[in-house]
Amino acid sequence: MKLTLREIIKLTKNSKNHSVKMQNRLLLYWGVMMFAFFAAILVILSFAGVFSNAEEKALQILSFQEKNSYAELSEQFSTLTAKGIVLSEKSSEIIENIIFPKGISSLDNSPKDLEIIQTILYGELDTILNSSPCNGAYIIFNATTNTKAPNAEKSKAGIYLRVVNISGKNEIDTDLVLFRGIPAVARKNDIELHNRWKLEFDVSNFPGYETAFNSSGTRISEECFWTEKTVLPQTWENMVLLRIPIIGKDGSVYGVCGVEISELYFRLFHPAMESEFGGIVTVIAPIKEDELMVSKGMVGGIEGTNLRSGEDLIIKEGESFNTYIGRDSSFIGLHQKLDIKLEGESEVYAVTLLPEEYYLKEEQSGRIVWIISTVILFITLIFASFFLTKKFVKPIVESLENIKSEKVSGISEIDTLLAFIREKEKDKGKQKLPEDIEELFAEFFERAKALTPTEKTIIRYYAEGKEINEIPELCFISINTVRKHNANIYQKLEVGSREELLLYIELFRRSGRLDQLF
Amino acid sequence: MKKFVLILAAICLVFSACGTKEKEKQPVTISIWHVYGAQTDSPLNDLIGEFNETVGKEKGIRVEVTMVSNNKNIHKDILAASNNEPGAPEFPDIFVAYPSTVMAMADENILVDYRDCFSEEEIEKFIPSFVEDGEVEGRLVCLPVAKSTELLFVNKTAFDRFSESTGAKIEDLYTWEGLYETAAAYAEWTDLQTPETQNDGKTLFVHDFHFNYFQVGTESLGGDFFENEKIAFDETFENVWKPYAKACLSGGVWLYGGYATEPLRTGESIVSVASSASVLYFSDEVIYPDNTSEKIEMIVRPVPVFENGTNLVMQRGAGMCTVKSTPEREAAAVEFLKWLVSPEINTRFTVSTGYMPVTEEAFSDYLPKAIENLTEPMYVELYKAYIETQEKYDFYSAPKFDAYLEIETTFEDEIRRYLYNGRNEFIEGEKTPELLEEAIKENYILFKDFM
Repeated sequence: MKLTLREIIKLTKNSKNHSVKMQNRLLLYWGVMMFAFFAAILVILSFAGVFSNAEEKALQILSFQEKNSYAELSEQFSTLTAKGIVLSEKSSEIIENIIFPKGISSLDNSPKDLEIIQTILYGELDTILNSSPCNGAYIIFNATTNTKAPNAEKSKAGIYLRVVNISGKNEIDTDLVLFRGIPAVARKNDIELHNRWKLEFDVSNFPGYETAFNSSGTRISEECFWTEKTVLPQTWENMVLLRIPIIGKDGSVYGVCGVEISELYFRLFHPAMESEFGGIVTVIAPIKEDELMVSKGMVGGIEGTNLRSGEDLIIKEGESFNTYIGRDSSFIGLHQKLDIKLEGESEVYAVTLLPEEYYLKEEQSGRIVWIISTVILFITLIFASFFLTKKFVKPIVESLENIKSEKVSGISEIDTLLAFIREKEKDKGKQKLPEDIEELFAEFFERAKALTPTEKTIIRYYAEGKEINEIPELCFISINTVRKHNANIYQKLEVGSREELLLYIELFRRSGRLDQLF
Repeated sequence: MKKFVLILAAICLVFSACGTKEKEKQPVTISIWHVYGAQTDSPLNDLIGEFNETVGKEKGIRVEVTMVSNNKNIHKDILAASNNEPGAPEFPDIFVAYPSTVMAMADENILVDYRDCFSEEEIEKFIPSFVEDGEVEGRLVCLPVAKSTELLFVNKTAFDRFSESTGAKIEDLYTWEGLYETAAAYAEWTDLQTPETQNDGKTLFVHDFHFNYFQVGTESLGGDFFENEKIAFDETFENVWKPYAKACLSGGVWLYGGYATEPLRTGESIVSVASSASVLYFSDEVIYPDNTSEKIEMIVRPVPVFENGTNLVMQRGAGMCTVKSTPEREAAAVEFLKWLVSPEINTRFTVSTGYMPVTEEAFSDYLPKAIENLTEPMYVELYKAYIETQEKYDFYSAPKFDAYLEIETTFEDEIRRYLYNGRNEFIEGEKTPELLEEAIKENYILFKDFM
């Protein structure tokens, strides 16, 4: 358990040269094996994309949502433009086929004709509002009820209907209010007047009204423009308007018509999509240099984000996706240019945004999960190695203890091995030496019988490794006496030198018969 | 080994707790449908913006206004959502409704009982009768956030012209009898302005809720409007009917649908009884059919009463209902509502929308100062009339029973239809006082039989 990494390394280095505890050796093998297994699993999972990082995930989500948003916005705006063109053509037809045949060349000062035309066109606007992704539709005629009224030059007659009960889907039964137009038309159709109703439009506040009269008279689709976001007069609502001129057969412009998308309607129609990084917001807005002009565009549902519809965002382009930086919060996202004609020179973009804050948190949290999981798993593997090793070695150690105390080890393989070794030992005792060696031992033994006790004592000292000069002291005799005894010993034993004598002694020792000499 | 297991478990716990905390930090966005401001500049929207930037920002709550309409439209959409009708919108988190709407819902238990979210002390801070108004079947489901009453609005500029010519007085409008007589006289006078066109007289008076006129009128004269959850149609009711029907058949009362502010804006009527909250929708400018416009002076007075009746007026003002969803969303909704009914905020909100605050503290400590600081003439007039109403009138709260809403809706639509048709029939014949009396009786019987 207390085996440190340093010890493991040392153990690995020395394992070949020194004897190592079996448990440590086994622990090392288990650890290495598990680590290798762990690493292999990680490599496989990484290749399989299981550990794809937050950036990849965010990019996938953003790319998918950006495609959807782009398709939805393109569809919504092109459908409305197409409906607006039809409305413009019908308005022109009604003026030319119903009003002009009455001998009237202008609708100015003709309240009754204006009421007739508004009554007819009410149905057209109602149809658009019931079948199109917008919340308001209008027609403005280049005429006024009373040319003598104050500010008559800026006041133009027309009809503007708005949906009251807007929601994210096309209502089957829309409740309309008359924002601009003749009250009698509202009464006939059983609808109420808007809280800020007025009889006519003040075109000085109407974005691009005058421009519509500079129509080139070519294709009407070339004349369809969307205005930048403006406030609906005297209300709390922001909106964008589609503006299409109503052009007669001779190229005269009778007025303008179009539809309205309020910011609230846009928000409900394009709700935020939930993701693991927070809400994904759809924005349609112009881009000026490196700034996303959110204040001039429309923002979809902002659930789960801190996006403010009035705050422009600085775009910082990135490799995978862009960062859109606001005053208090920033977003990651993608944008794509839409084929929508906007008043002025601006180009408008479909933008998909995700709160960067949650993306970063998710990324950080993913990293922490990853690190902690890895550490926990690694520690678990080490513990498992230690536990298994201990479990494996314990009976072996116990069996060795048993062997020491002459008991049965408890492990059949060890007991068998032990029995085999003991048998070998017995056999070893019984084993005979080769015949010539045996004869040599026997002759030497016969000759040794002739030795005196003193000579035998001297030989024993030699067997114990003593030198000749140590003998006088041990036997309390002189060196000359020792030499004399040596000469007798050599003669009796028939050896030529001390080395030969010591060789005999060693042979006797190795064969376990040394005691027989003394 | 045990130690090791414990350490591992602790690490896992800490780690999972961290993960949960991260998720909780994402802002909770709640939606609201309200009526305060309708299609005009909405003071509540501004307050919601303030909440989002302050308390909401701090607590991770965003309130999104997804509909600003009137009670009628919200009622319609709530019932459609409640009955899961095809194409119905999804419920918002908070919506404004009267208890009658709640009672008409398929399942009113989908709404939060505020007694589960507000402490007893918090509930006690509300004016008790307002809390009672918001209860349905013993559950507090409509939280009072602003209360209103009915007031008399007069286009003084136009009335003065009529007065100069006929001698009519503003004071005539302070009783129902006087008001209806003046209405008939106004219709006649305006008809005479264009001798070349017959029967083009204008209506003097428009009432937002004819049903309320009859209900409060009958009760103020000592009668019972309801009997066994049905309209009693007793003698008192008939007494309330007579002056009203006379004025209607004479052309002095507006009988089209819609709110009272509408004909006042177009100059088609010049006097109305409407909710105090309609001050937001009245304009100080009248636009006439020839596209000329006129700046007007609007005066506000307490609602007319019967000469022999008590001073009784309808207590109005819907409450805010919270739809049950997730604990986070419900908590966020309640957090917002608690902020909205806190005395200072509630006073700012109500005074800017023509309502009265809902807590005792706001009434006593904040409202007087707020009224003193008013500068816009119409609002000054409004709160003057409000205070007079409080001093001199008793407030009437409509009873709560399942069929109430259906009776109210049918009554409101049909009484206008019967008298509109009666008026057309009357002007087609000889307009004698005898025929008028006959028409009053005949239409009463027709209407009574229909109901």
